[in-house]
Amino acid sequence: MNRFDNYKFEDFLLDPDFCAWVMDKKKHFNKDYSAYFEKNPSVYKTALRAKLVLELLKDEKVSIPLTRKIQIWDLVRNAINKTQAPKNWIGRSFKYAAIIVVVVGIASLFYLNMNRDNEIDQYIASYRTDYTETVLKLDNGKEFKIASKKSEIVYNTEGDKIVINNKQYIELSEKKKARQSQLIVPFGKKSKIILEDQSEVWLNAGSQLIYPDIFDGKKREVMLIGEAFFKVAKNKEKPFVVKTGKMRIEVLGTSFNIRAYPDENIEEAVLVEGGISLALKNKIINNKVELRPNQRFVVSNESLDYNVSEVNVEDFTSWIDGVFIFNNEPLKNVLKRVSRYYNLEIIGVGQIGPKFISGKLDLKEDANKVLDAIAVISDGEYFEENGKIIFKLKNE
Amino acid sequence: MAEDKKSEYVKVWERFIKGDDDAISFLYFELFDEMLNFGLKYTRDTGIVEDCIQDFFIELFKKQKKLPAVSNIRFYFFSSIKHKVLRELKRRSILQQGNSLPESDFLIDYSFESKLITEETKKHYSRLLKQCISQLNSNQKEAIYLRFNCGMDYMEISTILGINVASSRTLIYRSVKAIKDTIEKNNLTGIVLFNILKLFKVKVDFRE
Repeated sequence: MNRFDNYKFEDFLLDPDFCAWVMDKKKHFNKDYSAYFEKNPSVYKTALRAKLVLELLKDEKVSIPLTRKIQIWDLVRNAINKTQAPKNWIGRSFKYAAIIVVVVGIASLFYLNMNRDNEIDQYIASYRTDYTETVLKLDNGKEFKIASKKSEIVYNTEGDKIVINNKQYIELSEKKKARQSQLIVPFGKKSKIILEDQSEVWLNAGSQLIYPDIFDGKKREVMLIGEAFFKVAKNKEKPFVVKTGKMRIEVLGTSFNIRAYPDENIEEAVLVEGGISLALKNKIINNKVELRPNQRFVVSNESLDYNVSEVNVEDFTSWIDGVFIFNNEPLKNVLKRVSRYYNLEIIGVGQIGPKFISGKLDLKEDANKVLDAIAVISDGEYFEENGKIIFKLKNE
Repeated sequence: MAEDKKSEYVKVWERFIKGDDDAISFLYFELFDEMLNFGLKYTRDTGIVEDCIQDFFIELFKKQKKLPAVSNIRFYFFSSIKHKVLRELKRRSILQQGNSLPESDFLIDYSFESKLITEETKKHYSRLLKQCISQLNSNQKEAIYLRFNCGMDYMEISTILGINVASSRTLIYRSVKAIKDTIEKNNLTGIVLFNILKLFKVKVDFRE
């Protein structure tokens, strides 16, 4: 006996649980409902009609851009601050502070320039893989932890406000603009960040982006460990520079994918549109390589040898949409990517080294389904042991 | 609305009235779209609704420490916005015409067409619904919106509409019945219905 047994069309519309389920697509109802509807096709037909009506009734929503919301919020904050009396002493002490800053500034500028190119190495040295939550580390020492699997971080065009996942709102103090902020995305999670210049960066699992809150220098410089897709906002006066362990990539406005995980033996850049100029960091003769769209640049970690080839860019950027396409790729690499994506420890045993596979994986599926698919393609098998996945080829 | 979200809002609210300024920004960003959409049911002027939202939050800050504990934040925000929008409309109409506002109509304006409904059957349903809703009175439209768009319960609907709970129940029931009558009166032939089902089996699988 189920409460839906004698439901008519209107009863479905008046049932708050059913409505909530259609409107919000509440997950926990799905299981109960689907089992019931499978056994009762006539009720199912009525429910479908009610569902259609409910979906049509869901009004088209007006949505305004986030930047406008931030603007209105600023108006609110300003209105509040005006009602408080201004504090005069700040103005006076500022003059002295300015002098000190100038002196210190010159010294540190000199220091920074010398070390700028190798700054990334410090971050790589402290690269950790044991984070469980996405972390936004601001230079002022503040840390924000984001538990959601996917996250979005948006800077406003002044670089003094941040909104996380469209709800958490952070105001950076005017006086002290952070130099280097850091976004850390652990295994099993993804994140998208919109920087102050409104360039968009999608970070894949196990990646870190080091960037300034505002781009006040001659160049827009960021550092990357791991994999990211960049959609750089056009600005001819200020080139956008991405530094990785091995590469230095300079662009004006374009989109491209970079993969530079410290634990992989290659680094690569794939250009989707526009143009990029690429240099190897530690080469004595700094030859620049210009990439055209649909080209892939690969550099090996050991030899610093590189090559450029024509590729299908979709194979390299589909991870943004949760799809992983690979074309004659070492099985070892495929397993590594899957392990990062799902935050699983996968150990390949036996002769998986020389095995190459091709295919397409839907990373929206759960890890077991994806591993099943890999097992089928590669003629392998896997089992779990002490929380680790052991993967081997069948004929061994 | 999910209970855990409801209690999360309440906790944030408590932090705000205890003096944590940042807490309220969470509610602002979380509920902005819904407040805007709801406000737009009384006027087509986005600027007015934005101003009212802004005003509402400024007032919250000014009264911060004196604000009461609220058990249903979303509902409290909705009714405040409605109140503000209506007052603003009244003020403007007095300024412009020197007389009071004509009886307001709830601007429920389902844009079914823009939902890229390509199939004939869905179009048919859309047309029927549109026709049906246009015949409902303003109160019924508002009740339908609060119920099916905002997922409010009868208690919340009755307070926002300024009627009692039993009336709001009747209001919803009558509106739903009107929808049902329209749809059944113009019922589709078996073949067309079969097509809907076929289409839905593919498109909206209950097991998704």
